[in-house]
Amino acid sequence: MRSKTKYTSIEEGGLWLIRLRWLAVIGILLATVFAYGILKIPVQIIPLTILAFVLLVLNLVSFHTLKYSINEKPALKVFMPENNVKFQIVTDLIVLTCLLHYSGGVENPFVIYYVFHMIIASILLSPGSSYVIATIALMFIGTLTFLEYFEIIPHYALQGFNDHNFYQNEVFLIGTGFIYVTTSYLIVYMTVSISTNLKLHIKAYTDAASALEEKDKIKNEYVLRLTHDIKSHVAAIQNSLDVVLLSENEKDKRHFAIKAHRRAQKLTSFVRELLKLTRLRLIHKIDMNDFSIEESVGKVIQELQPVASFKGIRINLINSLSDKKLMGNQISIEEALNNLISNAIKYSPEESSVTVKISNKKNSCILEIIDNGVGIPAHEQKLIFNEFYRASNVENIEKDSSGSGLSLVKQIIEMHKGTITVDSRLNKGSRFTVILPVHKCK
Amino acid sequence: MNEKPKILIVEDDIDLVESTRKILEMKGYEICVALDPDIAWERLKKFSPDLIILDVMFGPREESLGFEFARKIKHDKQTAGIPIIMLSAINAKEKYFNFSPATDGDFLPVDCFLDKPLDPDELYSKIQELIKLKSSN
Repeated sequence: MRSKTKYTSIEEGGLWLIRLRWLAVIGILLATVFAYGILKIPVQIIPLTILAFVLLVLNLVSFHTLKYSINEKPALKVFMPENNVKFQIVTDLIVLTCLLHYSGGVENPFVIYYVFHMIIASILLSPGSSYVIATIALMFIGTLTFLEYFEIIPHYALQGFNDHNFYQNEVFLIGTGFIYVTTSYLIVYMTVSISTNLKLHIKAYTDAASALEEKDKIKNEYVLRLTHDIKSHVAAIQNSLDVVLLSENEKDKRHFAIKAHRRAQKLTSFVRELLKLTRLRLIHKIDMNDFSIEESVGKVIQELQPVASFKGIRINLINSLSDKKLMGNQISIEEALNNLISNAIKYSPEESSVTVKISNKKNSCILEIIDNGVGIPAHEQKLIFNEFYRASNVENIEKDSSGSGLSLVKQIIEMHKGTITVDSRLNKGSRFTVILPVHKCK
Repeated sequence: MNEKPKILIVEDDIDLVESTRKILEMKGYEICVALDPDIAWERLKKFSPDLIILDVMFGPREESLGFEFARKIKHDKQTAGIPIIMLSAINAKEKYFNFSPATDGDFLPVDCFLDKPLDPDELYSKIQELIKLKSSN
Protein backbone atom coordinates (compact mmCIF):
# COMPACT_ATOMS: atom_id res chain seq x y z
CA MET A 1 0.00 0.00 0.00
CA ARG A 2 1.20 3.44 -0.83
CA SER A 3 0.84 6.40 1.45
CA LYS A 4 -1.61 9.05 0.38
CA THR A 5 1.07 11.62 -0.40
CA LYS A 6 3.43 11.23 -3.28
CA TYR A 7 6.47 12.18 -1.15
CA THR A 8 9.35 9.90 -0.30
CA SER A 9 10.10 9.42 3.39
CA ILE A 10 13.00 11.88 3.40
CA GLU A 11 10.91 14.53 1.66
CA GLU A 12 8.11 13.95 4.09
CA GLY A 13 10.57 14.18 7.00
CA GLY A 14 11.94 17.49 5.67
CA LEU A 15 8.46 18.96 5.40
CA TRP A 16 7.57 17.71 8.86
CA LEU A 17 10.68 19.38 10.27
CA ILE A 18 9.69 22.66 8.58
CA ARG A 19 6.21 22.49 10.07
CA LEU A 20 7.70 21.97 13.54
CA ARG A 21 10.00 24.95 13.07
CA TRP A 22 7.12 27.39 12.55
CA LEU A 23 6.07 26.37 16.05
CA ALA A 24 9.64 26.76 17.30
CA VAL A 25 9.72 30.40 16.11
CA ILE A 26 6.52 31.12 18.05
CA GLY A 27 7.90 29.13 21.00
CA ILE A 28 11.08 31.24 21.19
CA LEU A 29 9.10 34.48 21.19
CA LEU A 30 6.64 33.22 23.79
CA ALA A 31 9.42 31.83 26.04
CA THR A 32 11.29 35.14 25.82
CA VAL A 33 8.20 37.16 26.71
CA PHE A 34 7.32 34.70 29.50
CA ALA A 35 10.84 34.75 30.99
CA TYR A 36 11.13 38.51 30.76
CA GLY A 37 7.59 39.59 31.61
CA ILE A 38 6.37 36.97 34.06
CA LEU A 39 9.45 35.33 35.53
CA LYS A 40 11.24 38.70 35.55
CA ILE A 41 14.48 37.15 34.24
CA PRO A 42 16.50 39.81 32.39
CA VAL A 43 16.98 37.87 29.11
CA GLN A 44 18.37 39.57 26.00
CA ILE A 45 15.10 40.42 24.33
CA ILE A 46 16.51 42.05 21.17
CA PRO A 47 19.06 39.36 20.20
CA LEU A 48 16.57 36.60 20.99
CA THR A 49 13.86 38.26 18.85
CA ILE A 50 16.34 38.74 16.02
CA LEU A 51 17.31 35.06 16.28
CA ALA A 52 13.65 34.04 16.11
CA PHE A 53 13.39 36.13 12.95
CA VAL A 54 16.56 34.51 11.52
CA LEU A 55 15.04 31.10 12.20
CA LEU A 56 11.88 32.18 10.41
CA VAL A 57 13.86 33.31 7.35
CA LEU A 58 15.93 30.12 7.34
CA ASN A 59 12.74 28.09 7.52
CA LEU A 60 11.33 29.96 4.53
CA VAL A 61 14.52 29.20 2.60
CA SER A 62 14.36 25.53 3.59
CA PHE A 63 10.70 25.31 2.67
CA HIS A 64 11.10 26.80 -0.79
CA THR A 65 14.26 24.89 -1.70
CA LEU A 66 12.66 21.62 -0.57
CA LYS A 67 9.49 22.32 -2.57
CA TYR A 68 11.68 23.21 -5.55
CA SER A 69 13.67 19.98 -5.30
CA ILE A 70 10.49 17.89 -4.89
CA ASN A 71 8.69 19.46 -7.85
CA GLU A 72 11.52 20.10 -10.25
CA LYS A 73 13.84 17.23 -9.33
CA PRO A 74 16.95 19.23 -10.30
CA ALA A 75 20.07 17.32 -11.26
CA LEU A 76 22.21 19.36 -8.86
CA LYS A 77 23.16 17.27 -5.83
CA VAL A 78 22.92 20.28 -3.52
CA PHE A 79 19.16 20.26 -3.97
CA MET A 80 18.66 16.67 -2.92
CA PRO A 81 16.03 16.43 -0.13
CA GLU A 82 18.58 14.71 2.06
CA ASN A 83 20.90 17.72 1.84
CA ASN A 84 17.99 20.00 2.60
CA VAL A 85 17.35 18.08 5.83
CA LYS A 86 21.06 18.30 6.72
CA PHE A 87 20.98 22.04 6.06
CA GLN A 88 17.92 22.41 8.28
CA ILE A 89 19.51 20.49 11.15
CA VAL A 90 22.87 22.27 11.01
CA THR A 91 21.31 25.76 10.79
CA ASP A 92 19.02 24.78 13.67
CA LEU A 93 22.05 23.84 15.75
CA ILE A 94 23.73 27.17 14.96
CA VAL A 95 20.60 29.15 15.89
CA LEU A 96 20.12 27.06 19.04
CA THR A 97 23.74 27.73 20.09
CA CYS A 98 23.24 31.48 19.55
CA LEU A 99 19.93 31.40 21.46
CA LEU A 100 21.64 29.62 24.35
CA HIS A 101 24.47 32.13 24.28
CA TYR A 102 22.02 35.00 24.84
CA SER A 103 20.12 33.14 27.53
CA GLY A 104 22.61 31.76 30.01
CA GLY A 105 24.74 29.43 27.89
CA VAL A 106 25.34 26.01 29.38
CA GLU A 107 23.32 27.02 32.44
CA ASN A 108 20.12 27.21 30.40
CA PRO A 109 18.12 23.93 30.65
CA PHE A 110 17.13 24.38 27.00
CA VAL A 111 20.58 22.96 26.23
CA ILE A 112 18.81 19.62 26.22
CA TYR A 113 17.13 20.61 22.92
CA TYR A 114 20.26 19.51 21.04
CA VAL A 115 19.06 15.97 21.67
CA PHE A 116 16.00 16.55 19.48
CA HIS A 117 18.19 17.15 16.47
CA MET A 118 20.19 14.04 17.14
CA ILE A 119 17.00 11.98 17.25
CA ILE A 120 15.62 13.62 14.10
CA ALA A 121 18.91 13.03 12.27
CA SER A 122 18.97 9.39 13.37
CA ILE A 123 15.46 8.86 12.02
CA LEU A 124 15.81 10.70 8.74
CA LEU A 125 19.48 10.37 7.79
CA SER A 126 21.98 7.56 7.45
CA PRO A 127 23.70 6.22 10.61
CA GLY A 128 26.98 7.89 9.56
CA SER A 129 25.36 11.30 9.13
CA SER A 130 23.59 10.88 12.48
CA TYR A 131 26.90 10.46 14.34
CA VAL A 132 28.36 13.43 12.44
CA ILE A 133 25.37 15.58 13.46
CA ALA A 134 25.78 14.48 17.10
CA THR A 135 29.47 15.42 16.98
CA ILE A 136 28.70 18.81 15.40
CA ALA A 137 26.10 19.52 18.11
CA LEU A 138 28.57 18.59 20.86
CA MET A 139 31.26 20.74 19.24
CA PHE A 140 28.91 23.75 19.16
CA ILE A 141 27.91 23.36 22.77
CA GLY A 142 31.56 22.69 23.73
CA THR A 143 32.82 25.77 21.87
CA LEU A 144 30.17 27.97 23.47
CA THR A 145 31.09 26.69 26.92
CA PHE A 146 34.79 27.10 26.21
CA LEU A 147 34.41 30.70 24.93
CA GLU A 148 32.25 31.70 27.87
CA TYR A 149 34.52 29.97 30.39
CA PHE A 150 37.58 31.88 29.18
CA GLU A 151 35.46 35.05 28.83
CA ILE A 152 36.32 35.39 25.16
CA ILE A 153 32.64 36.13 24.65
CA PRO A 154 30.35 37.56 27.35
CA HIS A 155 28.17 35.35 29.53
CA TYR A 156 24.54 36.48 29.78
CA ALA A 157 23.47 35.05 33.08
CA LEU A 158 19.88 34.11 33.86
CA GLN A 159 19.64 36.19 37.01
CA GLY A 160 16.88 35.08 39.29
CA PHE A 161 16.79 31.67 37.61
CA ASN A 162 20.35 30.55 38.11
CA ASP A 163 22.72 32.63 40.21
CA HIS A 164 25.48 30.11 40.75
CA ASN A 165 27.72 30.88 37.79
CA PHE A 166 28.01 27.24 36.80
CA TYR A 167 29.56 28.28 33.51
CA GLN A 168 32.90 28.69 35.29
CA ASN A 169 32.50 25.75 37.66
CA GLU A 170 34.97 23.11 36.36
CA VAL A 171 33.41 20.20 38.25
CA PHE A 172 29.96 21.10 36.90
CA LEU A 173 31.31 21.56 33.38
CA ILE A 174 33.29 18.31 33.30
CA GLY A 175 30.44 16.37 34.94
CA THR A 176 27.64 17.66 32.71
CA GLY A 177 29.98 17.56 29.68
CA PHE A 178 30.58 13.87 30.26
CA ILE A 179 26.88 13.23 30.72
CA TYR A 180 26.00 15.19 27.53
CA VAL A 181 28.58 13.37 25.41
CA THR A 182 27.62 9.88 26.56
CA THR A 183 23.89 10.63 26.46
CA SER A 184 24.15 12.07 22.95
CA TYR A 185 26.01 9.12 21.45
CA LEU A 186 23.83 6.61 23.30
CA ILE A 187 20.69 8.29 22.02
CA VAL A 188 22.02 8.31 18.47
CA TYR A 189 23.06 4.68 18.80
CA MET A 190 19.66 3.60 20.09
CA THR A 191 17.63 5.65 17.65
CA VAL A 192 19.74 4.51 14.71
CA SER A 193 19.29 0.87 15.77
CA ILE A 194 15.55 1.24 16.10
CA SER A 195 15.11 3.21 12.91
CA THR A 196 17.37 0.87 10.89
CA ASN A 197 15.31 -2.03 12.11
CA LEU A 198 12.14 -0.18 11.32
CA LYS A 199 13.36 0.70 7.84
CA LEU A 200 14.18 -2.97 7.23
CA HIS A 201 10.72 -3.97 8.36
CA ILE A 202 9.10 -1.33 6.20
CA LYS A 203 11.11 -2.52 3.23
CA ALA A 204 10.16 -6.15 3.87
CA TYR A 205 6.57 -5.07 4.19
CA THR A 206 6.52 -3.02 0.99
CA ASP A 207 8.37 -5.77 -0.87
CA ALA A 208 5.82 -8.32 0.30
CA ALA A 209 2.99 -5.99 -0.57
CA SER A 210 4.26 -5.41 -4.09
CA ALA A 211 4.92 -9.14 -4.56
CA LEU A 212 1.34 -9.78 -3.50
CA GLU A 213 0.09 -7.09 -5.82
CA GLU A 214 2.01 -8.68 -8.69
CA LYS A 215 0.60 -12.12 -7.83
CA ASP A 216 -2.86 -10.70 -7.65
CA LYS A 217 -2.39 -9.10 -11.04
CA ILE A 218 -1.24 -12.39 -12.56
CA LYS A 219 -4.19 -14.15 -11.01
CA ASN A 220 -6.61 -11.56 -12.31
CA GLU A 221 -5.17 -11.82 -15.79
CA TYR A 222 -5.44 -15.57 -15.57
CA VAL A 223 -9.08 -15.35 -14.55
CA LEU A 224 -9.70 -12.87 -17.33
CA ARG A 225 -8.12 -15.19 -19.88
CA LEU A 226 -10.17 -18.13 -18.64
CA THR A 227 -13.32 -16.04 -18.80
CA HIS A 228 -12.41 -15.07 -22.31
CA ASP A 229 -11.84 -18.70 -23.32
CA ILE A 230 -15.05 -19.94 -21.74
CA LYS A 231 -17.06 -17.10 -23.18
CA SER A 232 -15.65 -17.78 -26.64
CA HIS A 233 -16.96 -21.33 -26.46
CA VAL A 234 -20.33 -20.14 -25.21
CA ALA A 235 -20.48 -17.51 -27.95
CA ALA A 236 -19.80 -20.10 -30.65
CA ILE A 237 -22.44 -22.43 -29.20
CA GLN A 238 -25.03 -19.71 -28.91
CA ASN A 239 -24.32 -18.35 -32.37
CA SER A 240 -24.62 -21.82 -33.89
CA LEU A 241 -27.91 -22.36 -32.07
CA ASP A 242 -29.11 -19.00 -33.39
CA VAL A 243 -28.71 -20.40 -36.88
CA VAL A 244 -30.64 -23.50 -35.85
CA LEU A 245 -33.47 -21.28 -34.62
CA LEU A 246 -33.45 -18.80 -37.48
CA SER A 247 -32.73 -20.95 -40.51
CA GLU A 248 -35.41 -22.75 -42.44
CA ASN A 249 -33.01 -25.02 -44.20
CA GLU A 250 -33.05 -28.46 -42.55
CA LYS A 251 -29.51 -29.21 -43.66
CA ASP A 252 -28.21 -26.01 -42.11
CA LYS A 253 -30.16 -26.65 -38.93
CA ARG A 254 -28.59 -30.06 -38.55
CA HIS A 255 -25.10 -28.87 -39.44
CA PHE A 256 -25.15 -26.10 -36.85
CA ALA A 257 -26.80 -28.26 -34.19
CA ILE A 258 -23.90 -30.69 -34.54
CA LYS A 259 -21.45 -27.81 -34.38
CA ALA A 260 -23.04 -26.49 -31.19
CA HIS A 261 -22.98 -29.93 -29.66
CA ARG A 262 -19.34 -30.48 -30.50
CA ARG A 263 -18.41 -27.11 -29.14
CA ALA A 264 -20.29 -27.83 -25.93
CA GLN A 265 -18.26 -31.02 -25.56
CA LYS A 266 -15.13 -29.03 -26.05
CA LEU A 267 -16.20 -26.58 -23.38
CA THR A 268 -16.96 -29.45 -21.02
CA SER A 269 -13.53 -30.96 -21.49
CA PHE A 270 -11.96 -27.54 -21.03
CA VAL A 271 -13.75 -27.04 -17.74
CA ARG A 272 -12.94 -30.59 -16.66
CA GLU A 273 -9.24 -30.09 -17.28
CA LEU A 274 -9.36 -26.77 -15.53
CA LEU A 275 -10.91 -28.40 -12.50
CA LYS A 276 -8.28 -31.10 -12.52
CA LEU A 277 -5.53 -28.50 -12.55
CA THR A 278 -7.11 -26.48 -9.79
CA ARG A 279 -7.73 -29.52 -7.65
CA LEU A 280 -4.13 -30.59 -8.08
CA ARG A 281 -2.97 -27.13 -7.10
CA LEU A 282 -5.11 -27.09 -3.99
CA ILE A 283 -3.91 -30.45 -2.76
CA HIS A 284 -0.55 -30.00 -1.15
CA LYS A 285 -0.32 -33.50 0.14
CA ILE A 286 -0.92 -36.46 -2.08
CA ASP A 287 -1.03 -40.08 -1.13
CA MET A 288 2.26 -41.71 -1.97
CA ASN A 289 2.45 -45.43 -2.36
CA ASP A 290 4.76 -48.02 -3.83
CA PHE A 291 3.68 -48.96 -7.29
CA SER A 292 5.13 -50.60 -10.34
CA ILE A 293 6.01 -47.99 -12.94
CA GLU A 294 6.37 -50.80 -15.45
CA GLU A 295 2.79 -51.84 -14.93
CA SER A 296 1.57 -48.26 -15.14
CA VAL A 297 3.34 -47.67 -18.45
CA GLY A 298 1.92 -50.93 -19.78
CA LYS A 299 -1.56 -49.99 -18.67
CA VAL A 300 -1.43 -46.56 -20.30
CA ILE A 301 -0.05 -47.98 -23.56
CA GLN A 302 -2.85 -50.52 -23.59
CA GLU A 303 -5.42 -47.80 -23.05
CA LEU A 304 -4.08 -45.78 -25.94
CA GLN A 305 -3.54 -48.69 -28.29
CA PRO A 306 -6.89 -48.25 -30.11
CA VAL A 307 -6.16 -44.58 -30.86
CA ALA A 308 -2.67 -45.45 -32.10
CA SER A 309 -3.91 -48.34 -34.23
CA PHE A 310 -6.48 -46.06 -35.82
CA LYS A 311 -3.63 -43.95 -37.20
CA GLY A 312 -1.46 -46.97 -37.91
CA ILE A 313 1.03 -45.87 -35.26
CA ARG A 314 3.16 -48.48 -33.50
CA ILE A 315 4.05 -47.96 -29.83
CA ASN A 316 7.44 -49.40 -28.95
CA LEU A 317 8.30 -50.02 -25.34
CA ILE A 318 11.98 -50.22 -24.45
CA ASN A 319 12.29 -51.33 -20.87
CA SER A 320 15.65 -51.50 -19.15
CA LEU A 321 14.28 -50.97 -15.71
CA SER A 322 16.10 -52.74 -12.93
CA ASP A 323 14.12 -51.35 -10.03
CA LYS A 324 10.52 -52.12 -10.70
CA LYS A 325 8.82 -50.06 -8.05
CA LEU A 326 8.42 -46.35 -7.59
CA MET A 327 7.14 -44.32 -4.70
CA GLY A 328 4.46 -41.90 -5.77
CA ASN A 329 0.85 -41.28 -6.56
CA GLN A 330 0.00 -43.92 -9.13
CA ILE A 331 -3.15 -42.30 -10.52
CA SER A 332 -1.57 -38.95 -11.20
CA ILE A 333 1.59 -40.50 -12.69
CA GLU A 334 -0.62 -42.53 -15.03
CA GLU A 335 -2.52 -39.38 -15.92
CA ALA A 336 0.77 -37.68 -16.81
CA LEU A 337 1.92 -40.67 -18.88
CA ASN A 338 -1.41 -40.78 -20.64
CA ASN A 339 -1.09 -37.11 -21.54
CA LEU A 340 2.44 -37.48 -22.86
CA ILE A 341 1.86 -40.63 -24.88
CA SER A 342 -1.46 -39.50 -26.31
CA ASN A 343 0.18 -36.20 -27.34
CA ALA A 344 2.91 -38.19 -29.08
CA ILE A 345 0.25 -40.15 -30.96
CA LYS A 346 -1.82 -37.07 -31.73
CA TYR A 347 1.03 -35.11 -33.27
CA SER A 348 2.63 -37.99 -35.19
CA PRO A 349 1.92 -38.70 -38.83
CA GLU A 350 0.04 -41.84 -39.79
CA GLU A 351 2.01 -45.08 -40.11
CA SER A 352 4.82 -43.86 -37.86
CA SER A 353 5.95 -44.97 -34.44
CA VAL A 354 6.08 -43.70 -30.88
CA THR A 355 8.74 -44.97 -28.51
CA VAL A 356 8.47 -45.16 -24.73
CA LYS A 357 11.70 -45.86 -22.86
CA ILE A 358 11.96 -46.61 -19.16
CA SER A 359 15.28 -46.91 -17.40
CA ASN A 360 17.07 -46.28 -14.13
CA LYS A 361 19.97 -44.04 -13.37
CA LYS A 362 21.31 -43.80 -9.84
CA ASN A 363 18.32 -42.91 -7.71
CA SER A 364 15.96 -41.94 -10.45
CA CYS A 365 13.59 -43.42 -12.94
CA ILE A 366 13.88 -42.03 -16.44
CA LEU A 367 10.90 -42.04 -18.77
CA GLU A 368 11.31 -40.97 -22.37
CA ILE A 369 8.51 -40.50 -24.85
CA ILE A 370 9.78 -40.09 -28.38
CA ASP A 371 7.76 -39.36 -31.49
CA ASN A 372 8.39 -38.48 -35.12
CA GLY A 373 5.70 -35.86 -35.21
CA VAL A 374 5.40 -32.20 -36.07
CA GLY A 375 7.81 -31.05 -33.38
CA ILE A 376 7.66 -27.79 -31.46
CA PRO A 377 9.18 -24.53 -32.72
CA ALA A 378 12.34 -23.76 -30.70
CA HIS A 379 11.13 -20.46 -29.26
CA GLU A 380 7.93 -22.06 -28.03
CA GLN A 381 9.51 -25.01 -26.25
CA LYS A 382 9.68 -23.13 -22.95
CA LEU A 383 6.08 -22.01 -23.19
CA ILE A 384 4.40 -25.33 -23.82
CA PHE A 385 4.27 -26.13 -20.11
CA ASN A 386 2.32 -22.98 -19.41
CA GLU A 387 -1.32 -23.39 -18.71
CA PHE A 388 -3.50 -23.43 -21.82
CA TYR A 389 -0.64 -22.73 -24.15
CA ARG A 390 -0.61 -24.53 -27.47
CA ALA A 391 2.25 -24.41 -29.91
CA SER A 392 1.31 -22.41 -32.99
CA ASN A 393 1.89 -25.30 -35.37
CA VAL A 394 -0.52 -27.70 -33.66
CA GLU A 395 -3.56 -25.48 -33.42
CA ASN A 396 -4.99 -26.87 -36.61
CA ILE A 397 -4.26 -30.49 -35.79
CA GLU A 398 -6.26 -30.73 -32.64
CA LYS A 399 -8.84 -28.03 -32.33
CA ASP A 400 -10.53 -29.71 -29.38
CA SER A 401 -7.52 -29.60 -27.14
CA SER A 402 -7.62 -26.98 -24.46
CA GLY A 403 -3.86 -26.93 -24.13
CA SER A 404 -3.79 -27.68 -20.42
CA GLY A 405 -2.30 -31.17 -20.77
CA LEU A 406 1.39 -30.40 -20.49
CA SER A 407 0.85 -27.97 -17.69
CA LEU A 408 -0.93 -30.70 -15.76
CA VAL A 409 1.90 -33.14 -16.53
CA LYS A 410 4.46 -30.66 -15.27
CA GLN A 411 2.55 -30.11 -12.05
CA ILE A 412 2.27 -33.82 -11.43
CA ILE A 413 5.96 -34.37 -12.07
CA GLU A 414 6.91 -31.45 -9.84
CA MET A 415 4.70 -32.78 -7.08
CA HIS A 416 6.86 -35.88 -7.22
CA LYS A 417 9.96 -33.64 -7.10
CA GLY A 418 10.84 -34.71 -10.61
CA THR A 419 11.67 -32.81 -13.78
CA ILE A 420 10.35 -32.76 -17.30
CA THR A 421 12.25 -31.49 -20.33
CA VAL A 422 11.63 -31.41 -24.02
CA ASP A 423 13.95 -31.75 -26.94
CA SER A 424 12.25 -31.16 -30.23
CA ARG A 425 12.89 -30.35 -33.84
CA LEU A 426 10.31 -28.98 -36.21
CA ASN A 427 8.86 -31.67 -38.47
CA LYS A 428 11.32 -34.25 -37.09
CA GLY A 429 9.74 -35.07 -33.76
CA SER A 430 9.91 -34.51 -30.03
CA ARG A 431 11.42 -36.25 -27.05
CA PHE A 432 9.94 -35.63 -23.63
CA THR A 433 12.16 -36.77 -20.76
CA VAL A 434 10.73 -37.24 -17.30
CA ILE A 435 13.08 -37.87 -14.42
CA LEU A 436 11.48 -39.02 -11.20
CA PRO A 437 13.52 -39.42 -8.04
CA VAL A 438 13.14 -42.84 -6.52
CA HIS A 439 12.84 -42.55 -2.79
CA LYS A 440 12.54 -46.22 -2.38
CA CYS A 441 13.24 -48.65 -5.17
CA LYS A 442 12.67 -52.26 -4.35
CA MET B 1 -29.48 -0.05 -52.97
CA ASN B 2 -29.71 -2.91 -55.40
CA GLU B 3 -26.41 -4.49 -54.66
CA LYS B 4 -26.10 -6.58 -51.49
CA PRO B 5 -24.14 -4.78 -48.76
CA LYS B 6 -20.78 -6.49 -48.20
CA ILE B 7 -19.35 -7.47 -44.83
CA LEU B 8 -15.89 -8.79 -44.05
CA ILE B 9 -15.66 -10.98 -40.95
CA VAL B 10 -12.21 -11.26 -39.37
CA GLU B 11 -12.32 -13.80 -36.58
CA ASP B 12 -10.18 -16.78 -35.66
CA ASP B 13 -12.91 -18.94 -34.19
CA ILE B 14 -14.15 -20.95 -37.13
CA ASP B 15 -17.43 -21.97 -35.49
CA LEU B 16 -18.30 -18.40 -34.74
CA VAL B 17 -17.31 -17.32 -38.23
CA GLU B 18 -19.49 -19.93 -39.89
CA SER B 19 -22.55 -19.22 -37.79
CA THR B 20 -22.22 -15.44 -38.05
CA ARG B 21 -21.78 -15.79 -41.77
CA LYS B 22 -24.92 -17.88 -42.00
CA ILE B 23 -26.96 -15.46 -39.92
CA LEU B 24 -25.86 -12.47 -41.96
CA GLU B 25 -26.33 -14.25 -45.27
CA MET B 26 -29.90 -14.98 -44.22
CA LYS B 27 -30.30 -11.24 -43.64
CA GLY B 28 -29.18 -10.60 -47.20
CA TYR B 29 -25.55 -9.59 -46.84
CA GLU B 30 -22.66 -10.72 -48.93
CA ILE B 31 -19.99 -12.12 -46.65
CA CYS B 32 -16.25 -12.57 -46.95
CA VAL B 33 -14.26 -14.28 -44.21
CA ALA B 34 -10.66 -14.13 -43.01
CA LEU B 35 -9.35 -16.21 -40.14
CA ASP B 36 -6.35 -14.02 -39.39
CA PRO B 37 -5.37 -10.38 -39.92
CA ASP B 38 -2.65 -11.18 -42.47
CA ILE B 39 -5.10 -12.70 -44.92
CA ALA B 40 -7.70 -10.16 -43.90
CA TRP B 41 -5.75 -7.23 -45.36
CA GLU B 42 -5.61 -8.79 -48.84
CA ARG B 43 -9.27 -9.74 -48.67
CA LEU B 44 -10.17 -6.27 -47.51
CA LYS B 45 -8.53 -4.67 -50.54
CA LYS B 46 -10.06 -7.12 -52.98
CA PHE B 47 -13.53 -7.35 -51.49
CA SER B 48 -13.92 -3.67 -50.50
CA PRO B 49 -16.59 -4.31 -47.85
CA ASP B 50 -19.14 -1.83 -46.53
CA LEU B 51 -18.42 -2.93 -42.98
CA ILE B 52 -15.94 -5.05 -41.06
CA ILE B 53 -16.70 -7.31 -38.12
CA LEU B 54 -13.43 -7.77 -36.31
CA ASP B 55 -12.58 -9.94 -33.35
CA VAL B 56 -10.19 -8.71 -30.66
CA MET B 57 -7.95 -11.74 -31.36
CA PHE B 58 -5.14 -12.15 -28.88
CA GLY B 59 -1.65 -12.81 -30.13
CA PRO B 60 1.03 -14.91 -28.39
CA ARG B 61 1.98 -12.02 -26.09
CA GLU B 62 -1.59 -11.20 -25.15
CA GLU B 63 -1.56 -8.26 -27.52
CA SER B 64 -4.68 -7.62 -29.54
CA LEU B 65 -4.09 -8.40 -33.18
CA GLY B 66 -7.60 -7.20 -33.96
CA PHE B 67 -6.93 -3.79 -32.53
CA GLU B 68 -3.67 -3.43 -34.47
CA PHE B 69 -5.52 -4.38 -37.61
CA ALA B 70 -8.17 -1.77 -36.88
CA ARG B 71 -5.47 0.89 -36.54
CA LYS B 72 -4.03 -0.16 -39.89
CA ILE B 73 -7.44 0.12 -41.54
CA LYS B 74 -8.07 3.58 -40.10
CA HIS B 75 -4.63 4.82 -41.14
CA ASP B 76 -5.07 3.84 -44.77
CA LYS B 77 -6.89 6.49 -46.80
CA GLN B 78 -8.62 3.90 -48.96
CA THR B 79 -10.05 1.95 -46.05
CA ALA B 80 -10.37 4.56 -43.31
CA GLY B 81 -14.06 5.14 -44.02
CA ILE B 82 -15.15 1.55 -43.51
CA PRO B 83 -16.99 1.14 -40.21
CA ILE B 84 -15.64 -1.52 -37.85
CA ILE B 85 -17.58 -3.51 -35.27
CA MET B 86 -15.22 -5.06 -32.76
CA LEU B 87 -16.17 -8.27 -31.01
CA SER B 88 -14.77 -9.31 -27.69
CA ALA B 89 -15.56 -11.94 -25.12
CA ILE B 90 -14.42 -9.75 -22.27
CA ASN B 91 -14.83 -6.06 -21.91
CA ALA B 92 -11.37 -5.46 -23.23
CA LYS B 93 -11.66 -1.83 -24.21
CA GLU B 94 -9.64 -0.30 -21.41
CA LYS B 95 -7.51 -3.20 -20.41
CA TYR B 96 -6.02 -4.41 -23.62
CA PHE B 97 -5.89 -1.28 -25.68
CA ASN B 98 -4.75 1.06 -22.93
CA PHE B 99 -7.60 3.09 -24.18
CA SER B 100 -8.53 6.08 -22.13
CA PRO B 101 -11.15 8.55 -23.28
CA ALA B 102 -9.15 11.36 -21.65
CA THR B 103 -6.01 10.94 -23.73
CA ASP B 104 -7.24 9.13 -26.81
CA GLY B 105 -10.35 11.19 -27.34
CA ASP B 106 -11.97 10.18 -30.55
CA PHE B 107 -9.10 8.14 -31.69
CA LEU B 108 -10.61 4.69 -30.93
CA PRO B 109 -10.14 3.01 -34.28
CA VAL B 110 -13.33 1.01 -34.12
CA ASP B 111 -16.85 2.33 -34.40
CA CYS B 112 -18.57 0.00 -32.01
CA PHE B 113 -17.88 -2.75 -29.50
CA LEU B 114 -20.11 -5.78 -29.24
CA ASP B 115 -19.82 -8.32 -26.51
CA LYS B 116 -19.88 -12.03 -27.27
CA PRO B 117 -22.14 -13.99 -27.41
CA LEU B 118 -23.73 -11.88 -30.11
CA ASP B 119 -27.39 -11.15 -30.17
CA PRO B 120 -28.38 -11.48 -33.86
CA ASP B 121 -30.90 -8.63 -33.62
CA GLU B 122 -28.44 -6.30 -31.95
CA LEU B 123 -25.76 -7.19 -34.47
CA TYR B 124 -28.16 -6.63 -37.34
CA SER B 125 -29.35 -3.25 -36.10
CA LYS B 126 -25.77 -2.08 -35.45
CA ILE B 127 -24.74 -3.16 -38.95
CA GLN B 128 -27.68 -1.33 -40.51
CA GLU B 129 -26.99 1.79 -38.46
CA LEU B 130 -23.29 1.89 -39.34
CA ILE B 131 -23.78 1.17 -43.03
CA LYS B 132 -26.43 3.90 -43.23
CA LEU B 133 -24.09 6.31 -41.49
CA LYS B 134 -21.29 5.41 -43.88
CA SER B 135 -23.38 5.94 -47.02
CA SER B 136 -24.70 9.27 -45.73
CA ASN B 137 -21.14 10.54 -45.30
